[in-house]
Amino acid sequence: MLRVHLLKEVREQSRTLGIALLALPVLALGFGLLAPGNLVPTDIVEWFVLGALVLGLVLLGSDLVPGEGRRGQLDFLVRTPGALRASFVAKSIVLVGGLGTFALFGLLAGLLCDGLAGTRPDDVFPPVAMVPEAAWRSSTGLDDLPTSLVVWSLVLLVPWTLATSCWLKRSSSVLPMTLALLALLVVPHLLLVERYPVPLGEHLLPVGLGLAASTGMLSAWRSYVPGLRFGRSGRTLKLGLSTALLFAVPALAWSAERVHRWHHVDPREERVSLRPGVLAADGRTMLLRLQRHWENHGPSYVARIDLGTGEWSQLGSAWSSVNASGHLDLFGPIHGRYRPQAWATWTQGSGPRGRDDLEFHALDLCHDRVLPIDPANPRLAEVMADLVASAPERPLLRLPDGSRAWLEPGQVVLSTPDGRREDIAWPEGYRPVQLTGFGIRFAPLPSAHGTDVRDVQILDLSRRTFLSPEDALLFRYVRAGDWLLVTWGPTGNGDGQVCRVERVDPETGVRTALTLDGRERPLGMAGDGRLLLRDSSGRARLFEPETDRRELLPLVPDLRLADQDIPRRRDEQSLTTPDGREIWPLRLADRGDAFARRDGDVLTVTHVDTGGEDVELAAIPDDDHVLVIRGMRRLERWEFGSDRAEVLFSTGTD
Amino acid sequence: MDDFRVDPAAHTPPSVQIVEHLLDALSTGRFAAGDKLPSVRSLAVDVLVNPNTVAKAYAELERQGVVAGRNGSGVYVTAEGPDHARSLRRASTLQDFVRTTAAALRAGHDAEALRLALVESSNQASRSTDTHCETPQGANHR
Amino acid sequence: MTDRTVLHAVDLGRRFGKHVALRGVDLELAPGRVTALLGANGAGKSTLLRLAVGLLQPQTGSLRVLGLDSCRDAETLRQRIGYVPDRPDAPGALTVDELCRFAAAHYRRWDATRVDELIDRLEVPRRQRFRTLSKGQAMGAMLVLALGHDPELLLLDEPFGGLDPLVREEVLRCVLDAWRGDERTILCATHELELAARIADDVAILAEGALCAHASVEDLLGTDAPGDLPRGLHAALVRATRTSPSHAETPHLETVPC
Repeated sequence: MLRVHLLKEVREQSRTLGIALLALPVLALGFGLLAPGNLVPTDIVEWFVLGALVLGLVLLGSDLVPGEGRRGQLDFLVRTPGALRASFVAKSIVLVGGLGTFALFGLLAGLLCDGLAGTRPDDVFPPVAMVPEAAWRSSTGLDDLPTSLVVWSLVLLVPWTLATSCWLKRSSSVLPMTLALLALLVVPHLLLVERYPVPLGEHLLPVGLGLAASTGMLSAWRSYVPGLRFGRSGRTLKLGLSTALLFAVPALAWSAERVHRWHHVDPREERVSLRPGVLAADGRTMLLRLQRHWENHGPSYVARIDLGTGEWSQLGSAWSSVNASGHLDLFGPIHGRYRPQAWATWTQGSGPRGRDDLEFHALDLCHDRVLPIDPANPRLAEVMADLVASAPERPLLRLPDGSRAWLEPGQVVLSTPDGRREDIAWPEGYRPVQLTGFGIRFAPLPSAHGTDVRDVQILDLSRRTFLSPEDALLFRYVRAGDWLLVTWGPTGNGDGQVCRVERVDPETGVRTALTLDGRERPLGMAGDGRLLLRDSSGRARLFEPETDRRELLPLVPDLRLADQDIPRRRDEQSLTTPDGREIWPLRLADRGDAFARRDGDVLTVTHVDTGGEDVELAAIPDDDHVLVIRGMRRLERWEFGSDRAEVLFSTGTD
Repeated sequence: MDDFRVDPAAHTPPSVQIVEHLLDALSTGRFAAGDKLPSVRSLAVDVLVNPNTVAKAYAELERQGVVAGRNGSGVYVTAEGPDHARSLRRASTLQDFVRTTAAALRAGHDAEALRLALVESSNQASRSTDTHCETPQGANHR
Repeated sequence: MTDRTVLHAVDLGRRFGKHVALRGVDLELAPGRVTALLGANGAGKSTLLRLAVGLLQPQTGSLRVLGLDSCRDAETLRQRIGYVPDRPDAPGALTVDELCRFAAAHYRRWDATRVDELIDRLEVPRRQRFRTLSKGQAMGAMLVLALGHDPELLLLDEPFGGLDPLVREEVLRCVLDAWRGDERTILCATHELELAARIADDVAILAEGALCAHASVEDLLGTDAPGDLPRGLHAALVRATRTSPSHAETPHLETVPC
């Protein structure tokens, strides 16, 4: 049955095919011989193939169905039992085969023209690209233009041309109608993805296009076989369009849903983790970062959480991040209590030339206002000035001699107790990244070539000089006049931990090892320059390198420190309560991570049993509490000297 | 068969035309007793008329006893068919003749001329009856 | 309606835009009858035939053909119906032989021997492309295509239009030859009364989309005027047209019996 239909189609199209296929070599000959060589573009072959395909679609594709009406033989097909089905298959085959022939002739004509013009005959359009299999070879589909463009446009245009040609009487309106319809089907998705960048899965594009193509085939089939049952009528259009909509509406809904889901996080989702953010000045609200694990690389979101009620709302869209201190440490330390805050949102890869698009916002949490930070906004300058003005009250660092140090854009400011102010400019091309005892570590600004992590400058605040020793990365603490080099961690052969404390003479570079008991571990540097140690029996002691004296610092209640590493910390500096008391992250035996507040000669400890869960300090809201994130899922309030854990907010379903 | 076609525009209905035509054919001996008449369909195709009309004509002939259907195999001329046909034709043609003669006399022909014409036709008819192969002249034409 | 009713239309109606092509047609065709469908141009003859072959959907009423729904069972039905449209519409690029192969591939009961006979009889050139055939040859080919699958119902739409006298006679012979007693019913739309008078057992008259008469020729003309059928038909046609709902305001006027 198919054979007679193929015979019929080929007979009917033979003249079109003949004329067009004759015209292509003639055009190639003419163009190749007459046009000056420099006018023939190097990709002339591709152009010929594309041109031949367009010609094929116009001459062949758009006339396959309207031609039946024009020749007045549509009724014959309609009333011959089973003829519509067979003729649809035949027409599809003839269209695909015909376009293939057009492409082949376009290729030959292009090669002819290219050869005649004498330009780059080696730059041959691969004939294999004409085979649809080539489409599946490239996973993302549109990587290597125009091969896949040709293939995909064929895959899309063939079925949709067949579909629209069933609806239209005039073959000349078929191609514009097809293009318009495809635009209607595809453009909303493109707009969605363009407006709200969503990472497309690797196979999403081929799958989507494949779906559009197969829907096109279905729509063509519905338009043709049942659609033409009573000749060309409103029914044809109705059936064809409804099939198209059957695809378009769910696909668009899916697209929109995906975009919406991508840009809106729900903390109750299973795979959302909590990361620390910033606490409002009044202590009632907090900005937290929600990290979503989405196909292995999730975006982060910013949520504002009411600590009293647990209510939350999302700020910004995907790839937003709250980062109060990260913006060049301008706004103070990460853990602590903040005044009007700023956060940055950035959207991955949507900026010019695919770079990240950074957008800064200032948030006045006390007045509940969000201010976009852009250079033209006068409020930005106010916020910055406000932050700079408040810096002396909340210094980054207090030195043992009573001096205070803070950061201002481009400089470190030292203020001595007698009111003298000293400005030390940042080294050019560096930014402050970390406190190291009484020093500030500077790292190179990020550059396109990447940065050398060993390239470190340390500002010794007591001597006001920059140091750049070769092993500066290993320095944990710098204190007045000399350096303490503290190294700890697992040994290379895995049989224990290494711990070394050395004094370094800044003048000569001579290092002197200090003796530590085999099981003593340094926990950090106190505000007076002494090292906090865990001794062999799990007690805390303050160690003075000058005198080699160890002073017991009792824990309240009386608990033992774990014979393990100290908890993970953002930086190595000591933390303070709003009234200036030091806070230490510790690890307790049998209880897990905890925090200790130094109250004179004792350490008041929080002693919640964490059951081995990871604990991260989120903020210090007042003098008696810390806010922690436990297991990356729950925001809890812990009280010093107590084992109470009050859950303020949690993610996931539990 | 010959060039006979039913004339739907004639005053006689088509089935009667076929009956007369077949009676003519029987009376001139083109169908002898026991001959099979053409099938309804082939006669219909030949005389260009609806086969049901032919079937009706056959039924009329059968009613008159000229032909008889033999279950399924066709329609055959009965033994008395030709004679019967001739007598039927005689009756109807005599009426026609009387009517035509009256019309001719009214038109001004004298009786002698009509008599001569009759003798002439009679001589011709007897010649052709001798050979038993020709249809009498004018039998089919009106 | 009996079980053997070949075509049964009840209140059949169809319009095209504002133009009412058929209205309230009630028609029953008994098997084995040859019915001439008479009416002026635009009276709805073609519409009725196209409805019967399932090329159109009725908008009002119902239409059952050979006991099946004309639309829902169109595919089955078309295996049993032969249809000759008023204009030859077979694919012009194929030769007559190829057209026969084409049809043979689609009709289960295609009889190639019979088709060869018909082609010879109608003197249709076998190796000539359909679109190059003369009008008479093309009509012959269409008739062959309509008869090749031994249809139970033959629908003819003006099969004699525009044919020269000799071809017309051959086509007429073919139509008559197509008769199969009760096995085949023929509905032939025509406006040529002489031909209608030759072939028809029954006559159905359409005027302005309404069925004005449907009766056997004898009943229609009456026993008092047995002769000159074409003139009788003409008179009937004129009567029908006069009493037709030509100026009717309502589209669904009751069928006027003639």
